Amino acid sequence: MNTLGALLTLPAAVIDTLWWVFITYFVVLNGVYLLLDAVALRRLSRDAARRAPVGPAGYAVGLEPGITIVVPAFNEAPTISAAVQSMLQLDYPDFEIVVVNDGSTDATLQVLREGFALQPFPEAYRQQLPVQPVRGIWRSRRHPALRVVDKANGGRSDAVNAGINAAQRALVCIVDADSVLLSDSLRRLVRPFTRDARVVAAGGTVRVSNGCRIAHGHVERVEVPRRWLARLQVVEYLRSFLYGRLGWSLPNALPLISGAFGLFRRNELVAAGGLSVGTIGEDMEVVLRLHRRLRAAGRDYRIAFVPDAVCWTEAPETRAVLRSQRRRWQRGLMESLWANRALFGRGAIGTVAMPFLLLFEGLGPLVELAGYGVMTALLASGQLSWPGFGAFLLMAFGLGVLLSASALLLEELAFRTYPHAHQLAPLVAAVVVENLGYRQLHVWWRVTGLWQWATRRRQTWGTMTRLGSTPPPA
Amino acid sequence: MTSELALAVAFGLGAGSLALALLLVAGVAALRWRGLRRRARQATLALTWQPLLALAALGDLLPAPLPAIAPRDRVAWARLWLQLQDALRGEAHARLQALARRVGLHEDAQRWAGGTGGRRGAGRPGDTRALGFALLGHLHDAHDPAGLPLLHAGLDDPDPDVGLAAARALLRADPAAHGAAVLERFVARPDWPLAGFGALLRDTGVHALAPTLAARLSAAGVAERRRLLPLMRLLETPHAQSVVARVAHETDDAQTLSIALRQLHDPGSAPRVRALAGHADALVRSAAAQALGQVGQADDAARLAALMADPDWWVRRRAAESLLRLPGLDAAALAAWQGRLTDRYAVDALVQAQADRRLRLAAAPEAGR
Repeated sequence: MNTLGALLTLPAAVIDTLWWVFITYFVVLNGVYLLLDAVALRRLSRDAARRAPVGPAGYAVGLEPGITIVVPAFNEAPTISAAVQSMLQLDYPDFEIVVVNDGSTDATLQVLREGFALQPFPEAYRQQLPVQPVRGIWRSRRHPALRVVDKANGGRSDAVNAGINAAQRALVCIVDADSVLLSDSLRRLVRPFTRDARVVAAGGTVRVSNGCRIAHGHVERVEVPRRWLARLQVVEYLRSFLYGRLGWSLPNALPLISGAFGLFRRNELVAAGGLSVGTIGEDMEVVLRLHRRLRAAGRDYRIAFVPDAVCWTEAPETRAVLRSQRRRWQRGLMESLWANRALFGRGAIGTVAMPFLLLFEGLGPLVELAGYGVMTALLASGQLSWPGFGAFLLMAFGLGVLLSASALLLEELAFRTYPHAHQLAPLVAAVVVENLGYRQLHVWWRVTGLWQWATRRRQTWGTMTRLGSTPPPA
Repeated sequence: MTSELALAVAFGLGAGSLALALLLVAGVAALRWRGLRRRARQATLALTWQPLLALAALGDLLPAPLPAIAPRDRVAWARLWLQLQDALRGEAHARLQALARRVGLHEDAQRWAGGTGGRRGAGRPGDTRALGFALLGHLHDAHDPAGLPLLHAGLDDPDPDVGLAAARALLRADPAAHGAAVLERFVARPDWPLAGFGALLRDTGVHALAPTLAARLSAAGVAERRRLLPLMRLLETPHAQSVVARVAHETDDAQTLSIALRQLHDPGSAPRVRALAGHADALVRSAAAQALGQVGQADDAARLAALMADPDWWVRRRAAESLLRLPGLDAAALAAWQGRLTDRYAVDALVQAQADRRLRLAAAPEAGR
């Protein structure tokens, strides 16, 4: 034993206990996800029929539920025109678009005005949800279904609430200004509402658009991102959406609908008070709040997830932006769980999903970081052998690779979004590389996000560096 | 020091996970390879058969013998056939039916609809059941009733897409004979989407079903009326209007009333609509305000002006829109009404409705650019 060992000597029993704590953590964390994986696999297999329509598509008959697409926009001048253009071409018979210009300091409003022939519109604005002052409402001469609410800056939640106020359809679809929807995205996302009157909200799948060829708001060619940081996020998103959310949705325990693409009954959002302006994780917070309110009211309700309703969005390609995003997500997770702590112990959401999220997603990074730290310290102090240290790393690495590989299998079975042969190898490589440093870095960012939550440090959305979609290699 | 057991467990978990991950990746690669081969095979099948299907539909001579269809390709072939058959009517439709019988598609359809066979290369059982029903809808004839029990059984399939496929097939085969059974299932199946069922009715000839629908609606309870009434919108006939008007007169249920009112455009319904304009439920008042724009007269302007001061936003909005649509109300009369309004919400609603109408009129020629 060396000098460090003399200083850090721990009783053997303590070291052994620590080992079992870390083993248990990794086994339970990955075991739950593998269980969700199995559940998702069964569901996706059963639903495969819905992706192979038989017979002619049902065209508009005037009986479809109307949808208002709410698009909060802050300083989106470079991309807002293409985004709105793509939304106007969605294949759905009854929808309107409400873009909320949230006090942009760039030319967002001017771009919209010029691009869509907007003119001031004397709308009798209903303020059912409190928002920052609305300066005016614009409407397109060319596209009567397009309106723009111009308001003072109040943050994303405030902007969405302003859009909910202006919505004139029974369903509200919240999308990010940089979301690229497929032509049938709305048609697929609305399905649960048309088949089950209990459904109050539904989320779709978000995929990484980096590397894809996107022109005029349409995904013309799907490609795996060339940059590794974005490529790793492809695998992450597959895990998160394909079995994370699908698995939780089956026992009606879905804790989160992505802010980039979610559909809600307008009256339920208004009754719940809209999105919270006091949290940075407003997308999770509003879903947990819906669960809490509806359970408390004794309502029979459902919050669904539709895996084949797809939205493409640009993922961060720089460490700084990704770090900011992941810290924000971690803080948002803790804020949402804390704000809805009354839901703990109620139903599947409160007895399974939320405790899991708290212990393994919220506080888990601490355990994982401690694991790496403790094991390294024990190795350095001579209290852990190299084979022992290797066994620990192998366990962490192996379980992580297994989870990601199972997500890749689900993707291949159910969607095959990356259909070309040359796209498989980089995805397989990402499954492995993700666990060789990226995951560990992610753990560190999440711990700092947890620290920020704990110390109530103010955090803002920050700035997303838009790179646009890079063309695929020739 | 760490116990041997803990180390062994950690090592075992790690190694076992990696081994399993390797298997999964191999599985992904195998699925990808299989998928590529399947798509290549389907492309070859389409290249061979699309011209032949077109020739068959036109009544031209086909080669004898016909190219063989491998068992694993029969589902893909059936989809090719169905895609063309859905677009055809008359003699071309009948010629493709004959071709289908010649290659034994009828037996395949019955087997798939019965939920047996067709797994290989077919995807999941739900895929082939729905396909089987769709095929039977085209292949059924009076001399071959064997498919009928299968189709009726299919109406009760727990998968709504399969059930609707069976419904579409039955209505395509004989709407008069099977319409009642299909409607009963629609009423009993809240998981059958209204718009999807409506599209199915429109595609298979909703007017042939009109008498059955009207009769069922007349005998329906509250919940059943809520379910069936929206379908009357598809009929757009005087008889359908009279049925809807009768429902509006008979029912007190607010939701049913609002559905019925939104479909009324027969001026004979005006007295009932006027009576409902003061209903306690805002949903009904809003629908009545909307209906007045269809069935009302110029002297309904006062009633609509009062509704424009309603506490409910939608009632105000619909009333303002309807005021602009009343017959016999020219610009001067509208301006006079606007001058009389004292409630600021009423003024806002009317200003918005006017702006909306101007915008829509202006957007019509601009949209054509």
